[in-house]
Amino acid sequence: MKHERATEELRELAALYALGSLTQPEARSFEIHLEEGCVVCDAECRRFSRVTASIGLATAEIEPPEYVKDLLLARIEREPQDRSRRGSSESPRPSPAAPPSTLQRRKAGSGIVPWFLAAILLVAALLAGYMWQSSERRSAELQEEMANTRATAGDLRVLLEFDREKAAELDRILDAAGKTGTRVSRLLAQAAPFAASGAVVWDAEKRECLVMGEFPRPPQGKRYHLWFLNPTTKSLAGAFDTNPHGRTLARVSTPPDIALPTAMAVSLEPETGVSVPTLPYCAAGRVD
Amino acid sequence: MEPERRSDDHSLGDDAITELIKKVEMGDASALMTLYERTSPLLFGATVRILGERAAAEEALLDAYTQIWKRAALRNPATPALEWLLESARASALARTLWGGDRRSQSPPSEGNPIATVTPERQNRARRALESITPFQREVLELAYFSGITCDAIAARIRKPLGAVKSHARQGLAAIAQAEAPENNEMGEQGETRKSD
Repeated sequence: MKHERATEELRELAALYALGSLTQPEARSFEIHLEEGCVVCDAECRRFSRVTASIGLATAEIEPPEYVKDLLLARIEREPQDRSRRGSSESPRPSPAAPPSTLQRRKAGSGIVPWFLAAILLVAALLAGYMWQSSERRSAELQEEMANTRATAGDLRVLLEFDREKAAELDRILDAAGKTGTRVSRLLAQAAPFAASGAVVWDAEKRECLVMGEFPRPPQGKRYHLWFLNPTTKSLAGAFDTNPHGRTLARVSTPPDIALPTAMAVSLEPETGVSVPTLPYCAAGRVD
Repeated sequence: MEPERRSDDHSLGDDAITELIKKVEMGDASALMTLYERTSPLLFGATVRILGERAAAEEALLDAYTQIWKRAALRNPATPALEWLLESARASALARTLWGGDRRSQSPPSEGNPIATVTPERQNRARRALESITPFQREVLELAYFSGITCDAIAARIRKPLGAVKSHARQGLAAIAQAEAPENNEMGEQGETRKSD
């Protein structure tokens, strides 16, 4: 039955359908009604769908981790696209069972085929068709399972690589931090808009610093510079870079005659270098 | 709090999203990456809200964009592009609640960014509209949207009569439509909102 105008009851049904809050039988029944071509209910459905989307649109945004994008890129390289258009995909699949033309020709043409032979042929054809469809379906399921397994394996490879990198980073940090005579400075952001933070592990014996932490990518032509500070001097220890995701794990070789620091600081300077730091510092911290 | 607009404005209109989806349909992976960069904060916010924890939400987000990649050609052009993206993410996240048990949070997670970046005007209008409806209407609508449960289940969960749940769902949607007017003012129904409900 097609409706001529929207009643409260219909609106409620369309609203709950758009929200996905109907039970399965209710939803299926409403879908059948829509498929019958009720334009009134279809219009209500579309309107409520648009309004329902507003609930999702009102959600607070959260930035996903960078590696999800890497995983997505790795996954789509292996995922074929489904290029069949909706119209064609929804059209009923021609049944391989009992090509009608053959059966009709036989029936109409000779008229001598006994009815039971025709019935047996029909049953056999239907059976063959059913088996063909089942095997096709199973084959499609297996292919999909294989594709999913491949995708999962690919994802795991990316994650493994990610974990290996992190493990290597941790080894370097533990190696540096475990030595006697190592000094550590925890760097904290000093002024907006810098959102930098991290730590410096200084191996005084080897005159080498390990700088780690989160440092936003510097503007074009600039690099981060590490400074050793004490009450009387500000000495340049060296410069370091950050990766495209704003993470840093860098070794900086310090000059042999650098003064012992009581604090360390990081500033943004031109790539050509400077002799005194530009204030404010991006991050700074006392040496423990 | 009135949501702000980010200064490095990368916002997209529905037309721009549609264009990107058309390129994705043609197998343009860079278009998918652009689409991801621009829309993932919104979709991730929705999946975190549905699943209540980040790890599962990341998997749901990954699944959603994989489906977007695979099924871009099957999108019904009558469905607005952003709605389609959101619905893909919602479907992926809700599917995970079926596999992994009920891990959904009933209240919004504490994290989340009030800044609207994907399509700021529409997002801000949606937020204002959702704030304008009654708490009961909002509770019913958010349970339905983020938990994917039926009205019967909602009624049982919040211990209210089924009829009240159904009518508040409809009234809430109508009120949102009216609050978002003029875009949806053809709902033909008065927004039935009373803050004191």
